[in-house]
Amino acid sequence: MGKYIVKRVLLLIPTIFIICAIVFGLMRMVPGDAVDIIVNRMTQSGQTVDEAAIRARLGLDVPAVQQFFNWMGNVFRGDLGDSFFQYDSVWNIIKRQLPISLELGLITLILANLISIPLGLFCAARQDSIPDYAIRIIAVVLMAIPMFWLATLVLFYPAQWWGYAPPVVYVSFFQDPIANLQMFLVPAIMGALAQAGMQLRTVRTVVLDTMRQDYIRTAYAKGVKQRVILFKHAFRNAMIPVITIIGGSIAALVGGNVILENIFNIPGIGQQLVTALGQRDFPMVQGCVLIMSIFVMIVNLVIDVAYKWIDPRVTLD
Amino acid sequence: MSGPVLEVRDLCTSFFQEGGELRAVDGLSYTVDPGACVAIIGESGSGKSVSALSILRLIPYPPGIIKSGSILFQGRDLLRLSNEEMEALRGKEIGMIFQEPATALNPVMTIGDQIAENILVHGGIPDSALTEEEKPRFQGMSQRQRAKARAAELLAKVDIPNAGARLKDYPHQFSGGMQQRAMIAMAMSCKPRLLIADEPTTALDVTVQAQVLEQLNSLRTEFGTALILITHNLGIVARYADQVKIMYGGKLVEEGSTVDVFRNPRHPYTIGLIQAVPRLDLPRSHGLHTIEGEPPDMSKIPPDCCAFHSRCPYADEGCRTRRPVLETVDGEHRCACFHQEAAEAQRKEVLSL
Repeated sequence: MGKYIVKRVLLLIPTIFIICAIVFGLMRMVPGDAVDIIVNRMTQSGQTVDEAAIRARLGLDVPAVQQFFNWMGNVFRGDLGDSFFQYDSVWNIIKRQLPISLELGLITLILANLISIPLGLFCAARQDSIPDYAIRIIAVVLMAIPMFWLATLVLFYPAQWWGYAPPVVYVSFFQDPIANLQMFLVPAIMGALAQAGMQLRTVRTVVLDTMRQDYIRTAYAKGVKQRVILFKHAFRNAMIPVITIIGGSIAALVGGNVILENIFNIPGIGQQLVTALGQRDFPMVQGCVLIMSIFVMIVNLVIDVAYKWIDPRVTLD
Repeated sequence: MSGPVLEVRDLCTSFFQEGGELRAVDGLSYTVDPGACVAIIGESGSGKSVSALSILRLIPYPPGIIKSGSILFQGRDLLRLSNEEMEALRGKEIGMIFQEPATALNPVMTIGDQIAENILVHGGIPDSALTEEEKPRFQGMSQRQRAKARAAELLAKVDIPNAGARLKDYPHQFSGGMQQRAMIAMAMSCKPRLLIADEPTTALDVTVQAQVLEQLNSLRTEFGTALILITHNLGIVARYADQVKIMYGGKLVEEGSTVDVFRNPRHPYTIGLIQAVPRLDLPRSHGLHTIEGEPPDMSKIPPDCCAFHSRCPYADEGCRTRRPVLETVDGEHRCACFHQEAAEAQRKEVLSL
C-alpha cells in the first residue's frame, strides 16, 4: 500500500510536466496576447508605448521554447511567476482564491451526497412506488433546469419580496462562520441540486442492480431482513461504482463553478481563470491549471485507495 | 416428531411475462422424511430450482408468483406464514446452498462475517444451546465471538485448513471448492432440519465434486438434517439419495426409491436419462445415447398434455390432449405415463441384447 502510494506520487512528476507542456502550448496558440491588450489600453488613454520594452518585461521577447523552459524551471523551484495584470504573484492569488472555490465545492459535494445517496437508496427500496416515481421525476427536472436561470430567480425573488440579498463581500469561515455560510449555502444548494439529480438516479440503478445479485438471494436465504440486506449487503457493493462518480464530480468541483461563482459574486478560482483567459494572462492561466491538475490527480489517488478499502478484490499495483 | 419434515402439495409457481404465463412448477407434490435425502432430477428449465426457491419463498415477485398449493414444513404451511415468521425459518430451520459459490457469497464481506451473520440473525448461540463440553470454551464470550468461534468450527468440519485464520479471508481468496464448502458451513450453521442444495457441485471442478459432497453428507448426517438435492448428475443421486423425483416440464414424471427408479425406470424420459449416462463397460462402437429433441418452451406447453410428448417415441394423440397422472407401479414407485408398459418392455429388450 505505502509502496503503491509512493509510486503514484512519483508518477505525478512526468504527468505534471506533460500537463505543463500542453497548457503552455495551447495558450501560445490562442490568437492575440497580453502585450496587444496592454498596448491597446495605453494608446487609448493617450500614452506613448514601447511595445518591445513591455514584451521584454513580461518575458515574451524570447522564443516560445525558451519561455517554456524558463517557466518550467521556475515551477520546479516553486515559483509560478507573476500575473501580467494583477500586482501579485500567481501563487498568492491562487492561495487566496482556490480555498474559496474548494469550500464552495466541498459544501456542494456534501449536500449532493446527503441528498442523492439516501434518496437513491429509498427509491431502490420502494422501486416503482409513487414516491419513487415522484423523486425520479424531480431528479430529471433538476438535471434539466439550467442552473444559471434557477440561480438568478433565487437571487431575484427574495430580493424583491423581502429585500434580502446574500452577502457579496467574502468573509473567511474562520472570521465569521455564519456570514461565510450565508454566502455559500445558496450557491452550494444550486450546484448540489443539479448534481444530486444525476447521482440519485445512478445510486438507484446501481442499488437495484446489486439487489438482483446472487449473494443478495443468499442473504435472504439466511433469514436476514430486507432493510439489513439493503444497508449491509447491497449498499457497500453499490458504493463501488458510486465512488467513481463522486470522484469525477470532485475533480469538476476543484475547477470552481464558473457560472455560480459569477452569479453569486464569489471570488473563486473559476472566475479568476476566466478573467485571466480573456486577458491572455499566461502565467495566471498556466499556474491555475497546473495547481488544479495536481489537485485532481491527488483526488484520483485518494479514490483509487478508497476502492481498495471498499472492495477487497481490488489489488493496487 | 414423526411424520415428514416437508410435505409439498400441488405446488404451482408461475412467471408472468410478456409472452403470457409460464408454469415453471405445475402441480408438484412430494414429501421429505426427517434426515432423508431426496434427489430432484431434471434438465435445465424443468422447474427444479424454482420448486426449491418456492419452499423458501424466494421467488422474485414480480414476475414470479406461487399460485396455489401448500408447503407443510413440520406441519406448518409456509405459504401462510408472515414475512417475519418466514425470515425466522430461513437459515435457521431450512438452509440453502446455491449452484454458483463464486457469486452466492458477498464479495465485500469476510467469510467469517458471512457465516457468523447467519448465526447472529437467529439470536446467536444461547447458553442453553451449548453442550457440556462446549460450555467452558464459550462461556464469557460475546455473541459475536461465539458466532465467530462456531464459524471456525464449521469451516474446520468441512476441511478448510487453518479455519480460524481463514475466517478473515474474503470469498475471492478461496478456491471454488472452498467457497462451496464455506456455503455449506454457512447453510448448516444453525443445524437446520432441512437443507436444500441446488446443484451444489455443478460449478465445481470434477476432482473436488466428490469431496464437497462427502463433506456435505457427513455434516448433514451428524446434524440429522434432511436434504433436498437438486442435480442432473445421476452418479451423485445413486450414491447419496434415498428417494428420487424426476421432473419434466414443471411436473413430476416419476418418483420412487433410488433403487426402484434406477433398476426399473418406467417413464420414457427416465429411461432416456439413465441410458444417456456414459458407460465405460460398453464397447466404443456403442456411442452415447441421447434423448432426441430439446426441452420444450415452457410457456408454450398447454396444461392438458404430457409435457414430454414432443420428444417421446411412444407419444400418441392421447398424450397431446390429456395429462397423465402419477400411478403406482409398486410400493412408493410411481410414474406418470400412458405408455409405461410399452416403454418398459422396450427397455428390457434393449438391455437383453
